[in-house]
Amino acid sequence: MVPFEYYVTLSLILFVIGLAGVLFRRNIIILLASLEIIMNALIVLFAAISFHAKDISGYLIVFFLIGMAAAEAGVGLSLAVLLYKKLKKVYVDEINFYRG
Amino acid sequence: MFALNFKFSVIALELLFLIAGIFFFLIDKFIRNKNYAFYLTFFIIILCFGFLLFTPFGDFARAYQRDFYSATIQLFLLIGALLVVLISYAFLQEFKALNYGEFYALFLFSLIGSFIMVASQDLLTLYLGMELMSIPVYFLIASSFVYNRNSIEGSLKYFIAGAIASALIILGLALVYYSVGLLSLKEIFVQLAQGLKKRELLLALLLILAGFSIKLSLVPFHMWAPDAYQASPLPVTAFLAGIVKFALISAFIKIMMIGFSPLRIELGTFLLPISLLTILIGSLLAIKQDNIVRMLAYSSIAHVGYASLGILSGDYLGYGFIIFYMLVYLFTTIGVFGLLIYLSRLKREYLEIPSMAGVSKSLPLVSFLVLILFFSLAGVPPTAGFMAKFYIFITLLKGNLIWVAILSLLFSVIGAYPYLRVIKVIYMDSPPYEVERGEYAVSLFAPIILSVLVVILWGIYPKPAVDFIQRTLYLYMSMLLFHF
Repeated sequence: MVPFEYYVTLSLILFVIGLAGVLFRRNIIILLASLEIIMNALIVLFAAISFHAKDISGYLIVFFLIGMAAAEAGVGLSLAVLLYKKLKKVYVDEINFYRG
Repeated sequence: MFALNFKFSVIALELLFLIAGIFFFLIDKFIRNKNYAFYLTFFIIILCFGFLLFTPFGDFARAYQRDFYSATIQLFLLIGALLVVLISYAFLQEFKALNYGEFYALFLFSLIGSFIMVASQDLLTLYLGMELMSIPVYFLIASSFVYNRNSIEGSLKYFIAGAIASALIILGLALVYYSVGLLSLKEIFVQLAQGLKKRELLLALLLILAGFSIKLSLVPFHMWAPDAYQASPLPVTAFLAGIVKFALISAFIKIMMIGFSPLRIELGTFLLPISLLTILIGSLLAIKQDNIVRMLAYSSIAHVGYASLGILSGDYLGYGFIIFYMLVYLFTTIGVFGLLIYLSRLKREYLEIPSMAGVSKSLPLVSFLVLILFFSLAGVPPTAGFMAKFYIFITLLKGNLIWVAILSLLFSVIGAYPYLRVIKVIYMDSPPYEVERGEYAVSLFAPIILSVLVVILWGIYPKPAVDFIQRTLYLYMSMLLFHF
């Protein structure tokens, strides 16, 4: 049986990887994938806590979070497609119309 | 096991909004005259005022509870929504490419989210309501790419900031779930009142606060706000600045009142530099803006900073004054954006401040209304904005935070400059040309006149509104603490 701390470490490492991806990567598709990595890290964390505490409600929260992650991915991808179709841009540092 | 209570009459308003929104999405393709959506939405919101009076108090599945607090906040949100729908009708008559049923449908979905958020009994419901509130707004902002292609950029920035905020909030939720075992606010209070798990729950509260401060655009995370505000269509900006922020602040007050109330002194020490910085940076950056929507975006950052000053002392009186402040700000913002819609219908360049020179010569009534509303934003005495700031400073003085009060008073002097500059440009500069006076559409001027009247009335005699809010909070707290 894998100890609880391993799960927590895994999910925190995934969270940091995702956060770094959001902050430092330029491509907008990679950025959306990093947001998905963050959500999946949190899902692993909730499932691990639920398994550790022998409590069913954590698994239930996981399903809500999966739905939420799907909704966020849908919104993000539709915005990215719109951005490419209208402005022909895919890199984050190219979208700099508003400043100040 | 306990039995869950499924009383569908409790969530009647949300069900009505949901059915109406789905109806718009289904039927909109087949109706040629798109104005039907406005009439239907208007009718539904009027109907909901009746529903709000007659729906019973109670809970739905221990997640959603209609009580004094949520019913009062939902009443304010409904009034704001009615005004925003009225001004968006006048806007959509001019910008016809946005005039679809889906505009109102997304608006109603977002309203459902804010209703769920202020009435939630556990943190998961609160988070889901928050996402339901913000996701339609991303689409509403991006929808104006027909007129301004760069609006996608503002929407994308808001989306990324909101996604990071929701990730931080879920991390806080995971910490609460690990240390308490449930996400219910009352259970958190029970644990904290016994003095257990204080450090874990403080960390969780800080994570939740970080998420909320991204959504509320408090200072380290404020950069998305001006872009999103400038990118969106004007009624959506009014919605974003007025209703969304009002709902977020009242939900945060609810968390602090029920769940984390033993930690409210510690929260105040963390929030104090954030609030002061928010006021300072919001006021300073508003000075050099030429676009008036961008200027109002920075001013909205500063106003949320003032409102968050009321949380610092951890006094329940302050929470009521925050709600009063945000209510005044809601009315003022909707009035200002209504006037901006009127001006931008006359000439598109009126959204830039230097080209507004001498508007008062040709449009005396509109300039006078701008004068009153901007005085209210700046906090000049005979208006409601002054009274709202006055009550916040009273709370600070009562909490022995005199130097904070003095500092924020100084910052408000800086913050008055951008508004006075607009008034100076309108009244004292000489006009380059004469403008034809447009027609005063009823659906646009009814909300503006209403908000101006409210601003003047509460500036002179604010006692009934403040007493109403304070009594609501008092009743809510006493029902919570003593079970009859």
